[in-house]
Amino acid sequence: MIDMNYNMLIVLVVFTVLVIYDLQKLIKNKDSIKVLISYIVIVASSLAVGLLLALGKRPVSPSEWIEWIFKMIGVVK
Amino acid sequence: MEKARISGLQLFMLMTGFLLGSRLIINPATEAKNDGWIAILISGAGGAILLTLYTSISLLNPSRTLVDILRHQFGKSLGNIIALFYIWYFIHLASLVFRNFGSFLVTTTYPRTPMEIIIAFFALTIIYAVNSGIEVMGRLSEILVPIVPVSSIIIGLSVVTTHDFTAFLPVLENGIKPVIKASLNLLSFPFGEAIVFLTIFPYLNKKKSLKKITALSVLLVTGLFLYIFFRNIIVLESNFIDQATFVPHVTSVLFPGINLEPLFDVIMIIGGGIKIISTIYAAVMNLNQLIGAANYRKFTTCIVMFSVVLSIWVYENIFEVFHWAGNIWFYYSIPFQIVIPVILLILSLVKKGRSQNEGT
Repeated sequence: MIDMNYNMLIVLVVFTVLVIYDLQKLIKNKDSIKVLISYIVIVASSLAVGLLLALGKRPVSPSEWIEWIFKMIGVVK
Repeated sequence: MEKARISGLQLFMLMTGFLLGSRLIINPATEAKNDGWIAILISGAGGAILLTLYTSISLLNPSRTLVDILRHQFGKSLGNIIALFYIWYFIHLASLVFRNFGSFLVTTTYPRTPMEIIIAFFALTIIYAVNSGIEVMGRLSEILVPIVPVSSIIIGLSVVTTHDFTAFLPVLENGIKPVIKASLNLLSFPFGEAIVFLTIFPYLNKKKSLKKITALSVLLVTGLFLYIFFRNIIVLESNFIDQATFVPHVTSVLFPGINLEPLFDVIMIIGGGIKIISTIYAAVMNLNQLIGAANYRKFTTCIVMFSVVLSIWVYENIFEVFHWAGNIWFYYSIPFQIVIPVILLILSLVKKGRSQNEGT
């Protein structure tokens, strides 16, 4: 049984609607491929992490990586 | 870059709101217990030095934003890589403030509302504010930021009947170590975070007053931190301060008969809001310049969306937030707040010296 976080799902749906509206404008204005790719990469990574959070499968967070690196090099105990 | 200008007063308010930010809901220098006032004074002095460093970089590279300065001093490739790290740092900072904001409201005012929904609602207004531009952000802070010190003073005066004016004594009871740790934490959060303003400084209409504005802002913020520290410690005493999560909020609910809690929500919304707006604006502007897009507004929604997801993702609970802010944030911030700016200042001075020599 998956423990869904419906609040996170609602938040993602709201932002996806805003992003689709933005993307329409980007395509209409014929923005450069660089802009489109950057936009899609940021949105896709947000959606991927957001969906995992909504499904209750929290991936290892950047703060945990950073803390691990600091522990490895002995900056923090 | 936007074709906009902000006045000295607007920059002063924006910077003051940014520095006060979410620190007003977390007691400044908690680790130092009753010696917190010494930590605040040390960090205030350090903050003044850091802001002088940032303003000097900006004045040596007039009309250049952070990305421009990095590219100019380090070369295009290395400059772009460092700029990318700064953009990440700004987004991470915004997500930390989002999380503080969400955790505070869920713990105190809206215990039955999901944190994700609170953060998302706040984020939608942030998108609107950032897209309105730097001039609107300046005017917004000009109107709203004065409410923060006034509210803090009202709360302080209201609880003045419940007090122990000797609560901060004896001095240095636990030695100097906790004081140094607390002052370093306070130096990096919030003073060092003003590196964000390297993107905003070029919009100031009168560059001559830049150093004066930042110095006054640091002075006011340090004074307010001291006031909040003494208010909390004379009401709650150091042992209780050490145990409470949101100390200033506990102080506000102590006053019998009047509910001062909404004043704290107002402080948090203004301080946190100004801080997130400035940070997201810096992230979006730098990303826009890095990619070479025509309008920075294209990236606002996706960056805010990423920050919201990150704010839920990065920390599992409020204790993790405090652990990170108290033990890791300072080390994590050293390259962004001290190392790179010092290198930038040296390179800027060398380049300025060279160009002056060539001129003569």
